[in-house]
Amino acid sequence: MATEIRIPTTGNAGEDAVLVEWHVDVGGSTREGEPVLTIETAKSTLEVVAPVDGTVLEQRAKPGDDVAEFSVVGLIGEPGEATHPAETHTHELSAEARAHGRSLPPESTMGGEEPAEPSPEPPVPAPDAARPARIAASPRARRVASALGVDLTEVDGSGPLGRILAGDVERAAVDATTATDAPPVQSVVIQPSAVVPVRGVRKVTAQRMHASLSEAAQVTLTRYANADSMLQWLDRIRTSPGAASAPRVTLNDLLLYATARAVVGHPVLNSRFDWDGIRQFDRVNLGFAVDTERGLFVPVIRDAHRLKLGELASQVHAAIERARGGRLQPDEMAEGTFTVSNLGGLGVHWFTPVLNAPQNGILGIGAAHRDGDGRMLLPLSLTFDHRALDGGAAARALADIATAIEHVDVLDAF
Amino acid sequence: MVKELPIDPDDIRRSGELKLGSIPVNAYEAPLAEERRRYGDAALERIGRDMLLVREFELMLNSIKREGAYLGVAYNHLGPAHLSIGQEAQAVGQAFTLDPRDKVFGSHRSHGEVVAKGLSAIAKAEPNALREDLTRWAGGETWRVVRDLLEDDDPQQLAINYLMYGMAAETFGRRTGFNRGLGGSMHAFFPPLGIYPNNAIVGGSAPLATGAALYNRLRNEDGLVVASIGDASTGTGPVWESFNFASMGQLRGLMDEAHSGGLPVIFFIVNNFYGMGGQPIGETMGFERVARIGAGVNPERMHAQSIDGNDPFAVIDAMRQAREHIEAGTGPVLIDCQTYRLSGHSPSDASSYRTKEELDRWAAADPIERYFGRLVDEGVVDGDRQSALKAWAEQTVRAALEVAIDDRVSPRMRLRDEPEVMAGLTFNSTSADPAEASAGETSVAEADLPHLQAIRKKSRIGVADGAPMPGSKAVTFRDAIFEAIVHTTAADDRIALWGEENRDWGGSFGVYRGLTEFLPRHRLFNSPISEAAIIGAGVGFALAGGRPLVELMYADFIGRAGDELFNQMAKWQPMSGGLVQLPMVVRISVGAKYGAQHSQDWSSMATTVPGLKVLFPATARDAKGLLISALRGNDPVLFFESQRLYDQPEVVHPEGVPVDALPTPIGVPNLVRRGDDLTILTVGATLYRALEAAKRLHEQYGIEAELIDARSLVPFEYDMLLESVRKTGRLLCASDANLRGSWLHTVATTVTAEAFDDLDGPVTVLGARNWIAPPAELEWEYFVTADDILDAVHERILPLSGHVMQPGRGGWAVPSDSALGL
Repeated sequence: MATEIRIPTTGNAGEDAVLVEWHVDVGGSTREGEPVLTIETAKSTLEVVAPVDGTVLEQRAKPGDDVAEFSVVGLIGEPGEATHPAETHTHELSAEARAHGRSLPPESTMGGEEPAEPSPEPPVPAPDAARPARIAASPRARRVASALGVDLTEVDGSGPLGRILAGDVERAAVDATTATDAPPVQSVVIQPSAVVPVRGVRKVTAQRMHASLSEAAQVTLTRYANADSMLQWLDRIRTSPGAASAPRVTLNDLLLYATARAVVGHPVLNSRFDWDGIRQFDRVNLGFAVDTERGLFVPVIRDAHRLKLGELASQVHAAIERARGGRLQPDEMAEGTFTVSNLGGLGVHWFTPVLNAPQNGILGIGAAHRDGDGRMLLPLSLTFDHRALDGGAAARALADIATAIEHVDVLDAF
Repeated sequence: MVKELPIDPDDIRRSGELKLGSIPVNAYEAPLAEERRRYGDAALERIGRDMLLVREFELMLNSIKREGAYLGVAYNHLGPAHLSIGQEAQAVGQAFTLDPRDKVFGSHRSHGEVVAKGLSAIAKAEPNALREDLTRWAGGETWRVVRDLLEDDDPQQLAINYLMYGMAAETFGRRTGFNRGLGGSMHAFFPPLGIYPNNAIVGGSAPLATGAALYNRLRNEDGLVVASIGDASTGTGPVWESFNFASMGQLRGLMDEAHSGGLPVIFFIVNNFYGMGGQPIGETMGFERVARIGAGVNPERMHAQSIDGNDPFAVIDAMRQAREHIEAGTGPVLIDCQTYRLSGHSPSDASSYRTKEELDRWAAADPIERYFGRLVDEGVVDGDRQSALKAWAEQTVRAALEVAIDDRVSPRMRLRDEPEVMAGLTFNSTSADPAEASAGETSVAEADLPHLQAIRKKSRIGVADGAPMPGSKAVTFRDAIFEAIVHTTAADDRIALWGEENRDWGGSFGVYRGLTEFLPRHRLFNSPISEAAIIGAGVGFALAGGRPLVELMYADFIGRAGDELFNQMAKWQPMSGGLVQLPMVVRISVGAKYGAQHSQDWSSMATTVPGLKVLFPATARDAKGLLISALRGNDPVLFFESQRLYDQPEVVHPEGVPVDALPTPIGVPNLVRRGDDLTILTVGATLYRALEAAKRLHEQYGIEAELIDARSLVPFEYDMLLESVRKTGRLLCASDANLRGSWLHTVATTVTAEAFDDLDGPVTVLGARNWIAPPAELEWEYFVTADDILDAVHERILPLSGHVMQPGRGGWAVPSDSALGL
């Protein structure tokens, strides 16, 4: 009777391996202990050896397939030997059994056949050292930790019996990073002057940026907008009779104001990516990047496209102040549909902003400069997710943003 | 007010002899010729016909239960069938003289009384009014089935078809039955024909009928009330309480002339000589003859007599005499109607407790056979008339049965489909139309009432210059209740008040002090120490159309009125299928400082029985507003008041106690204090200890507690509480109810489920320890204190920097206490 070729444990219960290649084709002969196929796990590449001498009767998986640990991927036996009926071919483990690292009992044997060999008892997985002990944290603390990307294992609890409370998580998220005071070590290896722990806001930023760049298909388009009208208008606003008592308006406010009004007309850009469906919005919740001592924060202004300039400006300034004071609440940074990042104040002209996933667009604003004709030109860098929209649509949206900037003073005229 | 009844020591100490007088036994004797002259041959035939129809309904149920079919119609009935075969003369004789407006209250074995009363009312009712009643009941749902499928050219027969269909459909739990199929046969009733609740609680009808009769007496309405109760029910306290309540001396001695007289109620003892199997006479009771009871109750011996209940003429004669006594104002009347149940207690009864010889001898005395024998002998009817009427009865019952079991036309309610439907049947949540109320009769005008004038001189707010004012200077909780009662009783004459020591004394805690000067005795009287009758009479009073406000002196006395509160007051709205209203308020005082039997907060216990609204105000403004809402509302309400608060001025609501009659909505909690760090929910007087705790949390720990006073336990709207918990993430609940079974655990479970991800700590419930309430000196070991609240916050929810716990156990539940039985 045929002998099964089984995938060994991947070392990580429940984790599939990928079949890389078969070394012996169907009909080819095998020798016990010699490689018959190669698999790749998350950690390494493994040769799977033939359990017996014989002929490969059947291959049940092909290169590139995910193969579960302990699953049967082929049969070795005498040429012409009958194999099991097709419906019993795959010895899939139930999710539960996989989770526990155990195989199901052998399938019922066919009449007259010898009992199938009992599948080897898989090793009982050792307690996973990496798995943290159960953490005592309130449901609210868990929710906040999830929203802020805080790792609860690194938070000290102040509640009864050391339970982590929501406030503990919030404090951890904004904790100033402190340098470790490790003693100097003699070594030829270069020593860092400081090791900054990747935690709190740094960790959130790191995870988000990494996830964004590893998942989205980011393309950046650039073009200029003529900023003359906008700058003149800003002057007029600042010198208008009501200016002294009104909220101070900045160039950045005008840019956010114009961008929100342009983007609302491009739902393909004002959208979020999800494999289950790209969610387009007819409202603009406009995020904008704020650089603080604690790190990068992106507060969101709800329904920015509907706000009058003064309303927008006061909300933006309040959010910036809260961000710098570490008082920004998680929900103030949620539900954005499009983001603006302005590096113009730091002298940058062009850059490739990284998408604030799952949003499909982010506008980078550079430092304005004059051209040969004396016009003030503002560099715009629009990154979009090519999974969600194509270059033409993005270019049209960018053109509209530029137009809105050029006509910002009359956007609300009609 | 001064005492009206002086106690003269010379009279009291004079020697003499108490003579009880005699009680007639089977005294009725009249030749048939006399009854023919009195009632006419047609009426005599109708008596026989009615007995046959009463029995046929029972035979049908018996056949359905035992054989799964009746006259070829197959049906499986899940419910009980407590039959009364052999007792037909009693049922038909009782109903014969009754007017349609007279009311009968039955027992769990009252199919016969229901059918007989219905037949009597149909025979006597004005045809157009009858048709109007039948078509209107339950929005015409029952009527449409009868009209379409049991139509008859003869309006009397059509009405009989309606009666039999309504009863059958109700028995089988059909939406088209008398009570939407929610009462069942033991609880069927149909007020338009004077058929008031059957009652599955033994003797349960006695206090209810007493209350309905009280309504007639105090409201000057005509009509008498019959309580059909079994012989074995005379072993129960509520039945004795009812006998006395209906006979109490003030009804004839102290009421004004217009309202004077004993209650127009007939305690009609259906004496079939057995409980289920136990025998009152000779075994379980000492009276030797049921009618003897009358001699112990009042000088008229309740006009008691023992009669031959197997002779319809003897029953009719007794009912006729009873009416004469009642019309003379000397009710109540007790009739010991001796009959015999030929059927078992239920179809499963093997009758092991009685002999075949006894059964055979009573079968030979079958009231129907004997009655028709006499009519034929005397030439009133032909010899074949009985079998013709029997065939008619079979046809009538069979037709009703066939329609009643047809799921297409007689469907059942789908109780789970729409929660609002059962909620609407349990509580109507409506208020009385002020236009339909006549102004209340009062002894002086509201404006001239001295006590009200005194209250009006006080401050409406209990805080002056940031300091609390004494109750002598500011309107107290007690004053607020007084005002609410004055406003509502002046506006609606249907409200009447009774309870222990209510008149003159003004209630044990002086809440009614000054009210005796305002309300005449027929609107405010002292009840006997009879908690069951106080509540049960209120239920009957409300079912009859009144709006009682009655009082239990202490919550601890709820046990004495347990059945009346939990099986009568709570049940009749839903058991009627929401077709009657029971507007009734019971004020219940929660004690303090009086130890184990006088200091229990049983408000939580009350919430466990569906059918009662449960209110527990904690401030003077809320007490006034909620009592006004309860008294104007059309639902049964338990209104708890803490004795700790009677002298408490209004310090919570900055607007104070309104002068006017402003209602407070029932079910909406009150936001007492705002805060972002912790939510505290309290019930009743615990509010003030929570206020103190909130102050200390603020001053000592910088923690801002948001404090919510539940005010109403049933119904309770969660919106405010959930919004608060979503903000603070923390909830502590406290009341004076025992921790185990506290209503606050229901709240805790609901909030934990609804706001789980917002919680920053376990919802913590505090309550009185699961011990007896100790004497006053030890009381604060038992009840929740402000210190207990701080300890619970510190240990369970949010450690308080520098807080030192009290020694001993905290006020929250711990498993080790539970294992000890605490």
